[in-house]
Amino acid sequence: MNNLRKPVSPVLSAVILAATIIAVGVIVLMWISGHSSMVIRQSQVDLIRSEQAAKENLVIVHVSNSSTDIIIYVINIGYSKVFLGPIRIPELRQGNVYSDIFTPEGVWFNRYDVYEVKDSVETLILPEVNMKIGSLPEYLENLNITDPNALPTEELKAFTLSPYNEVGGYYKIKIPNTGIEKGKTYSIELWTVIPIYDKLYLCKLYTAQLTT
Amino acid sequence: MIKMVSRKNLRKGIAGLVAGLIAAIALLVIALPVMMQYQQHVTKSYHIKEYATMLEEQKELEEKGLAACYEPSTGIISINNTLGRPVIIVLAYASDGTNEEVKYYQPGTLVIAPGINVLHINDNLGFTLDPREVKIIKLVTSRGTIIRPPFCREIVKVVSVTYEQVVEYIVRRLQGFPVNLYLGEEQIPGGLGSVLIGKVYAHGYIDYEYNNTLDLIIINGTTVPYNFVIPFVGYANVAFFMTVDITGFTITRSDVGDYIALVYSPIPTINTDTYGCYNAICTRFGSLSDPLEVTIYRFAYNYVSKYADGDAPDPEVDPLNYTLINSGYDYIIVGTETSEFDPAKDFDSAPSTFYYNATIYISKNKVSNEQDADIVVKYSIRHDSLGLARWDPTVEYVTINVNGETYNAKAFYRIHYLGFDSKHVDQFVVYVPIEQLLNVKAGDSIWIYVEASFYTDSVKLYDTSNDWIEYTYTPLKQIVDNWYSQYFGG
Repeated sequence: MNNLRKPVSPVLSAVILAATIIAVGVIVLMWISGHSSMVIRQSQVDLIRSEQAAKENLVIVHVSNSSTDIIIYVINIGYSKVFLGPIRIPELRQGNVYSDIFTPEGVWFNRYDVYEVKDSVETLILPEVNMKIGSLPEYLENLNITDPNALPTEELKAFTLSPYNEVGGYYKIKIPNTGIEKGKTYSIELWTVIPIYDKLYLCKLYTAQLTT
Repeated sequence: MIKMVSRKNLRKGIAGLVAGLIAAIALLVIALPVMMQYQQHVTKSYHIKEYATMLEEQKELEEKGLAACYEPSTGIISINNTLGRPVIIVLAYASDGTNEEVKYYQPGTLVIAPGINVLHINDNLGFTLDPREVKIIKLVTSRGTIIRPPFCREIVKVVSVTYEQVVEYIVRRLQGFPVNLYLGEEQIPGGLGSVLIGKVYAHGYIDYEYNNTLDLIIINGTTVPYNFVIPFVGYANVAFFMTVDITGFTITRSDVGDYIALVYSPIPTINTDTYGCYNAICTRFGSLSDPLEVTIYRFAYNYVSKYADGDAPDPEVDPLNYTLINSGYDYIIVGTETSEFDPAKDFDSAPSTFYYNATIYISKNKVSNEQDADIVVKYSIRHDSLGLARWDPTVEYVTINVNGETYNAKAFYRIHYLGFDSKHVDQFVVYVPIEQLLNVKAGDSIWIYVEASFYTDSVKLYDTSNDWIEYTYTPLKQIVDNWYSQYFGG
């Protein structure tokens, strides 16, 4: 009986084998590709952010205070626009109240204003960028926000600071009524942001100190 | 029968192999774009990191190459620019503690030229604050460096009184003098106390005296790079290294011609050599691979001033990139810095021998014809091919001619390396005992003009200074002597 069985052609078996390997491989790759597209997209975002962070050259010239207002003088020495996002003064945090975070137009917590100074004339500017936050957990972590519900919205605004030779001047940031006290040292954390795929991502942290 | 089975198996095997290959290629084609994208990301990330590091280094260099101080009684900021290129100021901030002013300058309108610059805060910077009341001044350069000049009464630079008065004042009251780095300096974050704990290494034409009982040493002189091997990378030139534990401040210098004065303890290992030193014995203090922890009592460091020469006879081979000048104990060093190049690639054909020659004219007054200069310094360096893209430099002669008399002179130099290959001498300075040869004293101006050339059998590349360079002679004899008498009893 065994002698009556027709042998399978080696070519056919090889074709079946190749087809099976390709089919399994494609399924595996599709899965990897689906998974990796997320990773690639994230790494693209990271790449754009690090490129901008490397090129960005915002200089905090001086931080001073007038009563409880904090004044920060900044100049954009780089070659491209810088988007100014949240400013944080960690020493102002009291309990679970986020009195240490300042954002453009007070979209989240407290408001700060930006003036463009040209020929000694100060002009109040408005935030030009308004987008959704790109990576919420990262925002919460960097700004030390432990309660995610504290954010009333996922939208964030940002000021556009042009290079000094384009604007022909510098910028003055005013944080009103901060409640700072005399004889203390405060750290100023200034974050720039970058719009990528219609979302705003944190870009670079600039720091300075203020001793009242 | 056995033969038939084997053939069948062979066919199966080949067919399986082909199938495997087709499958592997198919998978590779699908996977390739993903892999390429990752590769691109990795490469780009590396470039971004490199760019960011370069920007940071540029800022750091600018910060250290600009020494400044503010004298409130006159409202003058003195800035010593030792970078060899102009620095553009775009913003200035001043405050008297109550009122503050910020001034913006159109790019190019406020330039700090190489050498010593004097700026009045009202006349030049446009502030309206009373200079005597000003507590904080900040200048922002076009590269984003912030210069915050300390008060000159803390650190004395060139002020409106005569140089001798300044030196007397420093010797009587202070420990600092017009140098780039010193104890208590603002450029060191947070300033420094009167004593530092750190590690020091120095090499050069440096004089020294030590006291075994106190285990104390004073060193002063001109630094010269000594080359070190960085495994798998190549040779690196280091003339001076210092790191300070408390502040995390580190300085590593590789130029020829910086001036150093230090009093520290304990006494390090001292070795002599002639590396980079012609007609002179140089000394190494300590070891770079294992620097000794020391207590520094007095520290002053003056970078060699670099005066840029804009033009070049060849895009790659420039015999005069910078003119190098610095004051020493009672002497000056003058010399040249060339561009960095590879003789094998950048000359028309790789020469077996090529020469580097220079003539430096030094004069007490600016003269229209350089032949009328008071002192003429000449040097020549022969470079012989060692094969394998390496050249061996030999100093042929270094002479100083004054009043028709010619003397052999001491000189110091640096060799440019590409990896492990020695290419050519790129910095060369000559020791000129200016007080002995020319009747000049501290604070006097001297004028310098340079001609330099590279030549082979077939090519001559020649360059000269754009104009005479004016340099203020600022010897450090009085201060070093004062430190010496203070620690070693006269």
